[in-house]
Amino acid sequence: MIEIQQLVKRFGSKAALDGISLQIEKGSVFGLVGSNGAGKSTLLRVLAGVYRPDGGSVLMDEEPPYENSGMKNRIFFVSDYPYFLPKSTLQEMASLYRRVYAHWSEDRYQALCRTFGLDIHGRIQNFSKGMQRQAALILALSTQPDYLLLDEIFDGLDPVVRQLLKKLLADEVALREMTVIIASHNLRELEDVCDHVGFLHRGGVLMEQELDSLRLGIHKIQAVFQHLPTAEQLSGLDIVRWDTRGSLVSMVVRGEDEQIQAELEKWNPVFCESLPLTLEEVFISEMEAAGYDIDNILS
Amino acid sequence: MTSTTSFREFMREWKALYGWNLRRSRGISLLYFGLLLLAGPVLTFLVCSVSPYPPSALSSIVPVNSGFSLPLTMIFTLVLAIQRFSYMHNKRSIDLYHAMPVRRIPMLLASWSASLTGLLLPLLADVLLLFFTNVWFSQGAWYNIPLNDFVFLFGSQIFMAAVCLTFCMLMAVCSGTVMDMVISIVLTNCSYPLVIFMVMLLGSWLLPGFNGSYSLTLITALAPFPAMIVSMLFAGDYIGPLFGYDNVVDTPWVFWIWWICLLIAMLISSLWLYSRRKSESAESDLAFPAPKILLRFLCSAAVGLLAGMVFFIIVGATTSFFIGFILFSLMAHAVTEALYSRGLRRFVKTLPAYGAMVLCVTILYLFAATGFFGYDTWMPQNIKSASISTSWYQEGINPSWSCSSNPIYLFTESKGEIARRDRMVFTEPQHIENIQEIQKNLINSRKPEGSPFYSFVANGTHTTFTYDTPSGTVNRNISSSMNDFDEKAYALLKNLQNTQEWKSQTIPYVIDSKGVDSIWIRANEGFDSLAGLHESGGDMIFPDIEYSEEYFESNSIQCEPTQEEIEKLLSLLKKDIEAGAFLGTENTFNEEFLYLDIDISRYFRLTEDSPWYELAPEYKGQIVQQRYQYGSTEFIISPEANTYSYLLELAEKYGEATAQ
Repeated sequence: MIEIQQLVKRFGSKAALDGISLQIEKGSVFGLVGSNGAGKSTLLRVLAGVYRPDGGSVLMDEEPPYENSGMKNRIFFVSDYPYFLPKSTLQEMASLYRRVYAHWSEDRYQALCRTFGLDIHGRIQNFSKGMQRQAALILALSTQPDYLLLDEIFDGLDPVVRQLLKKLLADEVALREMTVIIASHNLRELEDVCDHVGFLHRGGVLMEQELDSLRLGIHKIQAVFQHLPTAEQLSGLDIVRWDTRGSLVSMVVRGEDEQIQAELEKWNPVFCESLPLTLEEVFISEMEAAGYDIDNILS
Repeated sequence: MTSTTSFREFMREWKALYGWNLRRSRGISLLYFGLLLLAGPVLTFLVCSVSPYPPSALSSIVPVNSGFSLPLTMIFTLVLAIQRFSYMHNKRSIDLYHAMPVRRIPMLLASWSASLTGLLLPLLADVLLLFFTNVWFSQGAWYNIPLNDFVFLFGSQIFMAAVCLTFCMLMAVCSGTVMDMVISIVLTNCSYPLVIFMVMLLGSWLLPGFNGSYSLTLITALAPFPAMIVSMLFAGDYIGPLFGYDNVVDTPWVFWIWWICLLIAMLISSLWLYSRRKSESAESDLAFPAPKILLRFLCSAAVGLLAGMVFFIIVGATTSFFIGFILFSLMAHAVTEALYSRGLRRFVKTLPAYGAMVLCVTILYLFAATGFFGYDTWMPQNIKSASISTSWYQEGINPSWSCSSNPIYLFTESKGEIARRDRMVFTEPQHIENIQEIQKNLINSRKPEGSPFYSFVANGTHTTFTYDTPSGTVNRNISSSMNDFDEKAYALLKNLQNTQEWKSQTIPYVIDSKGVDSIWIRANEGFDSLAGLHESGGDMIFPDIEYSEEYFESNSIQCEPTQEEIEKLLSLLKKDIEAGAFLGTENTFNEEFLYLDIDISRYFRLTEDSPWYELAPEYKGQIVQQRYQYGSTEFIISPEANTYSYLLELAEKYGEATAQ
């Protein structure tokens, strides 16, 4: 279990993480979502013990990861641009990890090499971006980590390998209760694999929730009214986004579906339907609610 | 966690990365070994294979090898340091290294020790191969194998390689990028020696009495790469007495102790700093700003002082020193800042640091120019003996004052206790007072009337005052020439050389006639009027002898007088010294006079393959003297001296004998 309390990480005068608190259960797949510069990668590096927190605390199974080799033996971090030693092959990288990771599994390594079908004697530098990520995954899963931290792991992977990755992660979570944290902008993929998501924005956590309850707790409503109410008149609803086109109102509203419908019924809608939101839509809505000027960016 | 478990963990982490690092650096180590092999064993093999007598060829191999391996070691130290420590200067590699289950200290220690192994193993292998090649070719002449040379030359090289590597590691930890690391290494090793040298030079030019002796240990105290070169010199000095090559031993223990301490300090501070180094400092500005600030200071000070002194030499005014200093130090400051910050965006912000450097140098100048808190006029108490020596020569002043022209070496029976005597020592209170008076007089001459500051002097000559006290020896070196001696000081100096104390220390008094091997009599250019002495006239005093065309040689003769003749010669020399009849007459070079060289090399034997002398084992005397390297000493004998006519007698006698 990961417990983050009032975590602060500064780069000079700028706080990349500004007092965030988060709890991630063991065996969960946690998706970290956020705008650019929100602090996702920084958070992963703090969790991996690469960065030392400037404030607050990070505990993984009640132990801080920084300068804790015992704990780090149970963590593997795949960065957004996985690094491999110059001119090294997958075999050479494996020999490094074999030396330093106590739980390295040679059988697992061999099996994963066969599964991904990479050339273990070829120079990794000559691999494509996707193949390099596959190499990083092979090495990561071979160390049999309890905590796997993945930064933009879906980038460059072809659809087949993405499915393979999802399957591998699901298997590891099911078999060993591995905790996975994935920071990504690819919300479609996260939606498939994550059971929890956390939205980061400007160094803080906007929200953190189970994916299913997130989906159930926010709705896209499309309704047509004879007498169009204003957003202020619908003050009983937690409206995240409000958009009107003629008499058609599109809104994103937080809350139980029944309660929302009941509230809207008071205004005698001609037509009213509730649509499920994709994670991407939830993200955009939440970001907009947090002051992210999406319209301005997109225009 | 118990300390034993913790140590085991530490060792496990270190071992895991040590082996890996060693594997990664094997290519460079092999290249290094290959080049060392060419310079050492392969060269020895080739030379000895073609040499008619290999043992004699061997002695020249070791210096060649060390001369080649030294720069090679320096280059490969830097290359290995860049290769092994550059991971901390790359954000992506930091993600890999710092996410691994290895703590910072074992991680850095593993990189350091692997680099050290990669550097030292080839060097050690080269030394061993070189040694065995020597054994192979020595043909049983074991004494030709300089085992101690191997141990000390290569031992010091190995040690200094470790020091340089540790220094590079410290710079790597403090730097944000590889380029900053290399800049810091290069600038430290160039600017520190230069700034220390310049400060000492400034002191010797400005502060009367400042010793100005250049300690190589101090000059290279924070510059390990130049210190590696110095270590070779020190190792050579240390080897000397073991082989009996050198008479003057300056065993630089301070150098070795300093570098052992600094090695430990650098290692500990590197590990401590690395444990506190932020991962995010990779690819950014310096991880720790201290080196940048210090190096900017050193570079601007060194270049400024150098330029200031050059300006002073050219123009000859103190103002020119400051103009040169300000202009060039500012330029050096800007260049250093541009190198570190890849531009001058923050140049204005660095100006206070530059101002601090200018202030420091100005304060140093003011301190030196006002006597450095009484250093200039301070006189030791309870003086047992005093002496004065000059690095300049002046007619009328006996050349024996000049330490560099006529040093005397005193030897005792024990070869270990060797002292160089290059000055006349006075113990009588009145004479000591006179010497102190001369010193005060010279100091006053450096201060222009009405000015609180001493003025710069850079004429390259100096007068040295030495006082022996119960608590040690005090030296005062005053940059001066004969022109700085006023009438009073000049008279005091001349009076001293007419004292019995001075005379009793001249060469005929300390020489032992049994040690005189031969004498060499030469005539000066004004000798023509003595042509009557020669049977056939002309300008040759010894016309029957076929001399070379050179005037210098044709007007001279070398002979080996009998013991009685030598004793008589020495007694006449003493008599003349007592009478003041020779040496230092006012118009020496306009008169007819003779040169006399007394060769006392009988007491000394030139060691094979070495220019140095060692005492002959049969010598049992307490004190002898010799002129360095040449085994003789020179007198100028004027016609009014008692020795003069006796020398002509000897010249005539032995000249004819030689001609026959």
